[in-house]
Amino acid sequence: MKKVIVACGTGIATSTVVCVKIKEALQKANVQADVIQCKVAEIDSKISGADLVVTTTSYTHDTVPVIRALSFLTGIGVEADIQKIIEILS
Amino acid sequence: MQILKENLDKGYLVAKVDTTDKFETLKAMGNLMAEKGFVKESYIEAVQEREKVFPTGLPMEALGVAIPHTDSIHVNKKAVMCGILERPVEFVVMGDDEARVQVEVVFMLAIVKPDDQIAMLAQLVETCQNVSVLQTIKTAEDMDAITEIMDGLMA
Repeated sequence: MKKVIVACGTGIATSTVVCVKIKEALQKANVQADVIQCKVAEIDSKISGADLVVTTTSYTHDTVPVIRALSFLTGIGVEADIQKIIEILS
Repeated sequence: MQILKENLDKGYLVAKVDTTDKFETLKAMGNLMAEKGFVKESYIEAVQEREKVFPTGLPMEALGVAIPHTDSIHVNKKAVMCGILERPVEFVVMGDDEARVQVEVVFMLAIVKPDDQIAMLAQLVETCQNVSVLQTIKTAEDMDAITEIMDGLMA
């Protein structure tokens, strides 16, 4: 099972919305994945085994790909980001 | 600050806000949220500190929006305050410390339990993505329409 971490600053608002949208998109594309929601400060403790990090804050990682989630909130460029996410997890 | 609409039962406020920088905006809106009992006094400083570390500016298609919020320990009751800014105020873009956005509408969120408020958060994002809805809010003339939008948000 692929593992996706969705993170925002507080782990309460934007990551909740982005988490739901990513789950919907993955289901639609028939991609099986665990989607885990957390605060950005918790990413490092949860990153083991993760295939992708999606975050609404600035965050980088040496080995795991990171996608900025701004498009899920603004709607601008969201299709392209969903495509990227599906490619990474497929 | 001019209150255009308040519904304490549903938990929302709409006001015109005349400020010149984002911290002043957050302070003015936080003060009113505290005055109405939605948040604790501590929210006002906490939301400003949070904005420094995790900016909430969103360059939406219609115009710049910000959705400041902070930890639930500072919150009494779930609520949203919509601040319509008389003058655009610069916020840092969420997730991009280099980018700035001129914000005209601020949705200040008082979140208690995110799982209970997924519908509100999802609806808020839909609202902000809708160009004409956001324009209606910004213009602050059609109060019936704005009331309907806010009722929908806190349904």
